[in-house]
Amino acid sequence: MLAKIFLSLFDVIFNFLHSVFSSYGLAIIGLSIVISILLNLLQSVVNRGLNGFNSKYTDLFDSMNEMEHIHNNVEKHFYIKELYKIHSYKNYYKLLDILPVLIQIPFFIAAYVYLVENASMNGEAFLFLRDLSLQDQMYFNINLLPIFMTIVNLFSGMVYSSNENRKSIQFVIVPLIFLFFLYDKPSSILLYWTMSNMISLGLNLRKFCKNNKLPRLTIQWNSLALLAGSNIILLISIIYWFLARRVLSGSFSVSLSVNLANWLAILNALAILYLMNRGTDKAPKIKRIVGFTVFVALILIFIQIQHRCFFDFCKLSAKKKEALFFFVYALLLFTYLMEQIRLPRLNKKFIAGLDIKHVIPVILVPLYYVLLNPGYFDLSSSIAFIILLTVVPIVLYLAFQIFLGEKLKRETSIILCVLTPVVFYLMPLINQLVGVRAEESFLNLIVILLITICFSIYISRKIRIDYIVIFLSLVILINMGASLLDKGRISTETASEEVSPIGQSLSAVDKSLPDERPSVYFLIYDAYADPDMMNHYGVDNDKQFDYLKSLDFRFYTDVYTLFPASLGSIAKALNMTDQFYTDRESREVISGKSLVDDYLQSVGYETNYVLKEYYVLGTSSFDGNYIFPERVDTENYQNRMFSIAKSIVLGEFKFDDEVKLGNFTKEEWIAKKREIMASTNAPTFLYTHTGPGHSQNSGKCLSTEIDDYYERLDVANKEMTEDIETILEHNPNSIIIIAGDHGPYLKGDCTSLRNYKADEISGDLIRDRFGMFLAIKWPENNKYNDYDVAVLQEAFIPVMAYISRDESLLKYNLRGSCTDKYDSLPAKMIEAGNIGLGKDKGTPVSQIMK
Amino acid sequence: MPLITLILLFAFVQDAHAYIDPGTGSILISFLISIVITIIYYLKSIFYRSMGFFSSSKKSNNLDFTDQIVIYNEGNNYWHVFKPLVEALCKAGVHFNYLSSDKDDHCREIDSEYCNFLYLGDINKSIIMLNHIKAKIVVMTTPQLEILKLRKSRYVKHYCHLLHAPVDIHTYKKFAFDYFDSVMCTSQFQVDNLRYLESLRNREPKLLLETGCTYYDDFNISEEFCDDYVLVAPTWGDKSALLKHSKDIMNTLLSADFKVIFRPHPQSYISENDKMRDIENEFENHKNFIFDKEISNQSSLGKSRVMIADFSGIVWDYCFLYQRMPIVIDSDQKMYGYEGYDISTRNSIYEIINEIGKIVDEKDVGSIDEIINTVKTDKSAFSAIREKYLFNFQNAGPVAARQLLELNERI
Repeated sequence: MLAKIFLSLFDVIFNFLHSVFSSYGLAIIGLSIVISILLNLLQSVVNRGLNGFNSKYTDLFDSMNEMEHIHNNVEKHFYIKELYKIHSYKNYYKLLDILPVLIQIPFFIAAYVYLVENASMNGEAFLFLRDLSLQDQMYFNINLLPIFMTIVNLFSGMVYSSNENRKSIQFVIVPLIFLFFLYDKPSSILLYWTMSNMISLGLNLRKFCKNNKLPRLTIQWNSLALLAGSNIILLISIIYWFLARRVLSGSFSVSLSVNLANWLAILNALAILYLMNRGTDKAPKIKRIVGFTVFVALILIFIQIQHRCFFDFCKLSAKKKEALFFFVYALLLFTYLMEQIRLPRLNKKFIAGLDIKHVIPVILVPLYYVLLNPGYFDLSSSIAFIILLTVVPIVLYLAFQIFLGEKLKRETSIILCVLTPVVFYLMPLINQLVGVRAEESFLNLIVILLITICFSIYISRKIRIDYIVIFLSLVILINMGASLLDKGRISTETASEEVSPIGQSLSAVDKSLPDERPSVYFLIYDAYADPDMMNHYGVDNDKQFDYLKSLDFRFYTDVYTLFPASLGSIAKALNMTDQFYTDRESREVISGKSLVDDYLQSVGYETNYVLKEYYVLGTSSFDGNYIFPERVDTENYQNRMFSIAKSIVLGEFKFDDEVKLGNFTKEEWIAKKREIMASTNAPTFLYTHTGPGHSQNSGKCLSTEIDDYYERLDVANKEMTEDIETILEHNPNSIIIIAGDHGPYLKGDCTSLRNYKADEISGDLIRDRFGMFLAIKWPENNKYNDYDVAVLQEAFIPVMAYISRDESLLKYNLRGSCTDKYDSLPAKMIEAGNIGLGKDKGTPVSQIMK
Repeated sequence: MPLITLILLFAFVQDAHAYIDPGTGSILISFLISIVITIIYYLKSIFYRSMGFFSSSKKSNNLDFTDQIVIYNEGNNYWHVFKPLVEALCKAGVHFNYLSSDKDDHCREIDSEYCNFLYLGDINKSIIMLNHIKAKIVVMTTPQLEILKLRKSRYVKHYCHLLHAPVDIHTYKKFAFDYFDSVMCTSQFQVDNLRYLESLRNREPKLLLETGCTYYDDFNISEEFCDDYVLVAPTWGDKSALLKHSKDIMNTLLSADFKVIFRPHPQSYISENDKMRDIENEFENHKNFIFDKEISNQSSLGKSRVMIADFSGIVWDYCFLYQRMPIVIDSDQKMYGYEGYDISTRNSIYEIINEIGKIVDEKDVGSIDEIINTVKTDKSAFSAIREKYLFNFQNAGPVAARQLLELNERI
């Protein structure tokens, strides 16, 4: 009964933590922290009671000291008995002293039973632990975690024994016993214990410092040690993330590492807060902290009102949580720095009362954008961009000084002219966090800006403006780090050199082909769903499907993509592979470095790409024959820079909506596409990518989501009809591939299921993301079109076989699993045509949405 | 907001002064240790209690002296304490029983119809029997009733302790008198200190009788020195500061042409034989040195002018009976396991010796010869001190008998 209560307590906490972190490892660490806090509270209550109780027996305990010196055991025994009698102390009262320990035992056993027998952790990796349900075997089959735990334990014992002035072999033996017992246990329980031991080490250290009366020094050392400790873990997770990306090609979740970094950051921040609270002069610090916390709370409430999930922390998207944590982290780090570190002597007046340090955030924001979008900037445009954004506030400040210099306080001027533009510059980021659609962003911008200005002016009366500036700089810096981590834009990998078996077969086929080579049109309509899905959403698209059927398009049913995002999906399709590509690699593949492009060029095709710039952004070169719009060349960086500046001013920063950024209209773009379709210089290959496009990325479906999709679909259908008519008019014997690149994302959170537990995910949600439309018009009935395409990435296999007249290519297929994670979507959502996880695990995709 | 809750939680934790032992495991071990210790404690209690019980379970209890007075003597060395009482009782014509753990107890030689002598066997056997004795009053010099093996028999109405010497109770082991119903005291300071302990330990007040030192009744006070010897008489064991310094002291004395008698405690021949032999070897050839190994101390005490001793019973006899100067070597030892540990005042021997003798700190033993020379003897001081500190000098036996009879009637 009691065991059940404890186990269910663990279950509740663990499941809650797992839903928050979406990582078992973090949930274990969290569990350990929660249980430690709980135990500490319980123990302090019990200890207080015990101290009260024991204080009644002070005299007895004094007398007991005498007994230590009596060497005759019989006498000693009876004297003690007599003393107990005199003080009416019962011998079993001694057992009360171990009540704090007794409290721990059920937790101890529960943790052990719960974690060791928890099947949900099977196969769950965490950081450097391959599988939480197995031994860690981190280094040549040696389990490092138990060894680390033992070291922590020994150290903790050392500190403890010096606290208590007790030298005992116990402090060596116990860790060794634990090492012995836990050495070959699952890494989950070891992770739990290591964490819990680290907490107890921390508490012992705290007591040690208290005992040794090192208050001032203690704070510094403690906090530095804590900071260093957590930041080292942060660093390790970043390094590991790099390694994982390089070596293990994506089997390590990026979002996990960011998540981990977040939580470490927040722990870090809490540690700082806690340490600060220990300072002697508490009042002003606490005031300041409370002040800032209120500020944070206001912003949070605003975000939540906008998001209609008031106080519902869990509904926040990972991105928002992340931002929130980094914000709080920055806040606390800042407060800490304010207390601990003297401000750097950057008081040299820069210009008209403006310190150099006041300009730092102004420089940081543009730097942030530059780092975040390497494809958009070269060195000179980066510098220009930074100067452009930096100059505006400085000029503004000077103007204020000249015209209103005497009326406004210096602080107010700095806030209005320097900090306000900085916040303004940050609007695209804030807008992304708030996650509303473009047309609402202006309102957000104004509201947030006003709140910030008012609060800044208010707070500048309380604290020095320097601190506000440093705080803002920290926020930007930390966000910069987080974004860089998340975006993975710092990675410099290039596409893999490895050639797939299909590639080898393809390069081996006879290149001397008959003259009648059909043109190939690869027309991607972003997020175009197949008839089953359309029916499911209640979207009536039969007219368009009937139209296609009337033109003898072969419909492939229940097709899905191996990767639920445009870049990866198309790159894999053009390379006929299930290999993982980073965004950058995908762009390299799409910019003419694919198997399809290479082969078609080698047999005399002219390869054309009419795309959004997004698909070839920042690529090293273009290897096809023609691309529109032209890839960005150095001189165009300037345009791009102004485009970004413009989107900053608009409070928008959507990188997958590039059409706006080019200096051409959509009509011009379509005209270019049609020009190639109408070209009769056969053979031609054309890849174009257009709407309807998937849902917005805010992390919440709008009520009008499906209607909006229907509207976009209508536009896309018209475009499609005209495309096909153009092609058929000029090249009636061509191969036309009409396809979506991934699902329309109309269900669930309309994005990558960020806060879904694996077992909450239904087949519908999976098909909504992976399922797509595929139809191919073949020039004639032939054996090649018997090939049953099941995934988009197979589409080119029969096409290549048809063109090369090489049946052997038909033996290849890619009907494996979706092995790659994408954003919050886990790997293996579909395995060999069946749903790979969640409620409908094992159900064939073809039976979903029927 | 969960975040704020978290922060609050964390802030709250800092008040908790409880902490988890390293690895929590250490406390688990502590936990086990405490449990084991508790169990061992109870087992020990049972073991010690029943230690002798099983060995002589055959006839442990046939001492039936219901409604009678019983005197118990643990050994012949206490006979001189009981003798005046026994004689007074016989003289008063009161029937009583005299139980002894000593086969050769001199009480056997008392030829009186009132005295019923009974030998109980060795001390352990005696204790088992005494634990179940049936009697009205039991008088004994054995302390720590109900503390160690000697338990109160539930068939005894009254336990009376007869203090065997005018020593202060500081030198008794812990809880020596706590369970006696009455104590026959020799001196006022014993009464005061017993009352102090009673209140300290919340005990029922005992009947404290002003009795006196019984064995002084038979002693003839000798006024003359037989010789000019210095008696060095250490007690035994670690407690003895004198034994520690006896070589130095004797070297100093001998080189200052003093005549020295060295008289160790008889127990020293058993416990510290090597030390004794060492001393003997070093000094035996010295013409002014006597190594006294006799059983009786009377000859040495009588021969000496000055005695150097520890805080032991012999000092009292030397002052009260021989009326000579004791010099006591003081050491700063803690009285662990003794009643003195709990009593806040100093042993009253300090007071007495300050009046008629000398207390020498162990640091100053090097100048012991000079100290002896400064000592002056004033005979009247000795009788004054006797008056001041002793009850019923040389009349304690009859007083004790009378008190006992009064008790007997009252109970």
